[in-house]
Amino acid sequence: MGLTYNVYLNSAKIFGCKNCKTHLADFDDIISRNFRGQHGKAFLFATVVNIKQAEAMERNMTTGRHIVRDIKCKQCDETVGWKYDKAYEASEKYKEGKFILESELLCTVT
Amino acid sequence: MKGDEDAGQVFSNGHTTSSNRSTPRKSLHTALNGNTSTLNGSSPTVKNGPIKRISAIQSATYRGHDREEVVRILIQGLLDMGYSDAASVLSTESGYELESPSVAAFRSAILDGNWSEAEAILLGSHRLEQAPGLHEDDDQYGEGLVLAEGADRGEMLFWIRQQKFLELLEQRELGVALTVLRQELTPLGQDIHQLHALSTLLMCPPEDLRTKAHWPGTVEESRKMLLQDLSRSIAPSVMIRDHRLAELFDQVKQNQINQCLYHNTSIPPSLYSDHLCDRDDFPSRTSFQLEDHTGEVWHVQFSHDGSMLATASQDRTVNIYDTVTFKCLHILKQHNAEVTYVAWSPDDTKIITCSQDCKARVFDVETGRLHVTLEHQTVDSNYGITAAAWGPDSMSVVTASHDRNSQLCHWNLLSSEPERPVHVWPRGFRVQDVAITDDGHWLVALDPQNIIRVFDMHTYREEPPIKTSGKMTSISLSRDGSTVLVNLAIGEVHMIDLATRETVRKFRGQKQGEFVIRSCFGGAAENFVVSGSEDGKIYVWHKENETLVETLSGHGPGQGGKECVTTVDWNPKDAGMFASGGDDRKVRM
Repeated sequence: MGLTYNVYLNSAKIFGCKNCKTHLADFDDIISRNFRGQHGKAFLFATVVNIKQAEAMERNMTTGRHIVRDIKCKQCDETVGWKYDKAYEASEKYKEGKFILESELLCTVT
Repeated sequence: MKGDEDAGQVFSNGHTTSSNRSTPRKSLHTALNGNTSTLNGSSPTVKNGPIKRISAIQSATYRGHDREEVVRILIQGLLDMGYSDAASVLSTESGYELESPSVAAFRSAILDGNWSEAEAILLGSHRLEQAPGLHEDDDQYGEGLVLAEGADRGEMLFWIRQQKFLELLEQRELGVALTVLRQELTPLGQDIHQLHALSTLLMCPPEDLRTKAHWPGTVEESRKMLLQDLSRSIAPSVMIRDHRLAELFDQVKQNQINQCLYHNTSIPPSLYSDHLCDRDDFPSRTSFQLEDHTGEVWHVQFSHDGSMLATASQDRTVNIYDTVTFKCLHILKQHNAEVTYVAWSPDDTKIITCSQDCKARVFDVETGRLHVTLEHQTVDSNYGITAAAWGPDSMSVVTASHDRNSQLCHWNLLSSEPERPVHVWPRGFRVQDVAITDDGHWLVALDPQNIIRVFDMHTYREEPPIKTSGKMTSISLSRDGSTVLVNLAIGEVHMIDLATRETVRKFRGQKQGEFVIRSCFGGAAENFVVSGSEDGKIYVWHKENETLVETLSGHGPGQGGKECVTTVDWNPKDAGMFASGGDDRKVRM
């Protein structure tokens, strides 16, 4: 593996893992707040940091069929959201390669 | 350059003829030479004959080199080595003098503190007064000494008068000194700041004078230094630089070292033959493997005397080995998380370990006992200590962290409360790696994004930062503290000059991107640059010409299925040994 340090973001408002406060995403990088996950409100990001990706699987969501994979905090292994690998509906294609973080699993760190 | 030399030759030739033709000149000549060695005193009288012989028998060049240059440098070299008789014989036979009489006079005037004489020679007025319009061919007399390109006569005058001023101060002739300052130094219109500094010295008690004026121990020494400064401004053809022959030899040797790909010895090359190191002397094979760690090895570091090696690992331990027997001396187990960094104190009695559990620990090397635990005070304790660096006294240490609120702390182990930092730098950035120069003056801190921050350890003040082109993972200093090596995540190692802040060398080839990879200088005279790599290999470059000397197979794949050499370190005392640590949990020698 080699030694990796966590990536640290430098903006004023940063989303961290609720469990261990590891930096996950920059508040200003939110693409859309109009998402819902298992725990309620969720945000769409183009980039997140310090995460591990699980196996890809097919899931039926409210907006149709997608291939997604769960993402976990690299530090504490807590699931924090998922990543879209593939969307079957043309209208949902924009989500491919992007990440969802669930609001309920996050905290803000400064 | 060539023009200058020709002028020099005309000058000395013209001079000799004149000394035989005109009596006023000759008397002046001896007066000027009064204080110099026998060489300069005796040569003018016997000079004319040999010059003719040269032109008749020998060509003007020595295998393509200017005969005058070679002979004059040889004369200087002979004098340097103390063969003054041989030097004067050579001078007589060849007809070349080491220095023209006016240079000799200038030299003795400076060394004797005969300031008005020195100024007169420098400006040429000396000649004009005593020998007005004697010869049209040696017009340099009218201009004074021939200067080097870009040299400023006013500045040289300033130096001379400054010396005069300081010497007067030292003799406590304050009134005269003040007159010199007002009437001689100020009108020159040179460096205003220096003038101000000089005027403050008037008030300065005599015992502080030398340190404040940056003056060496004795008047003689300071005059010699002045002469050296001045000689840099005088055309080299007129006044040959001090120890020129030795300087040339140094250059030849350094050049041969630079050309030698596997150069790994601190013994300077011989002048008798061209130098080349054998590849067999280069440590390219694994001679020993240390397999005690149960996790990836993330940092290895030799003690300063080369007798011990410390290894830091993911398995939360630090091992200390003897580098002769490779017996494990200590296993330091007190860490609650992975250990990412170790650093030996300059006297090798203590070692500091930096762990992801947010603590740095100082151990006594002799006993292996925990000496003190250091912890950054911060709002949330989520940040590991990334690195540490020792001050030259082995008693103070600086620790670094990614925590933006408390990224650098300075500790003093001698204080009554060693767990309280003596200085915490203002918050606002993150630090992944630090180093302190051997003289303890400069702290370089690596902000992982793209900034190298430089701090003055005396004042804690920050110097202008050095920006790099990308994300960096590690930093290491050269032994003399003049250059740093940084690993860039784009897969390059850059060597940066701390004084000019320029990237002076770029070493390419190693794979990097995801992980922290470390590099170091290596070899007997720090001729190599070594780096780990994410392809499990060790890359060795030649420091001067950036050639990739060797790609050594390093470490096999670890648990994550990836092979990665995280860290390398070259034994500072045994040039034939370096250590590497990697994912396969082993340390290779």
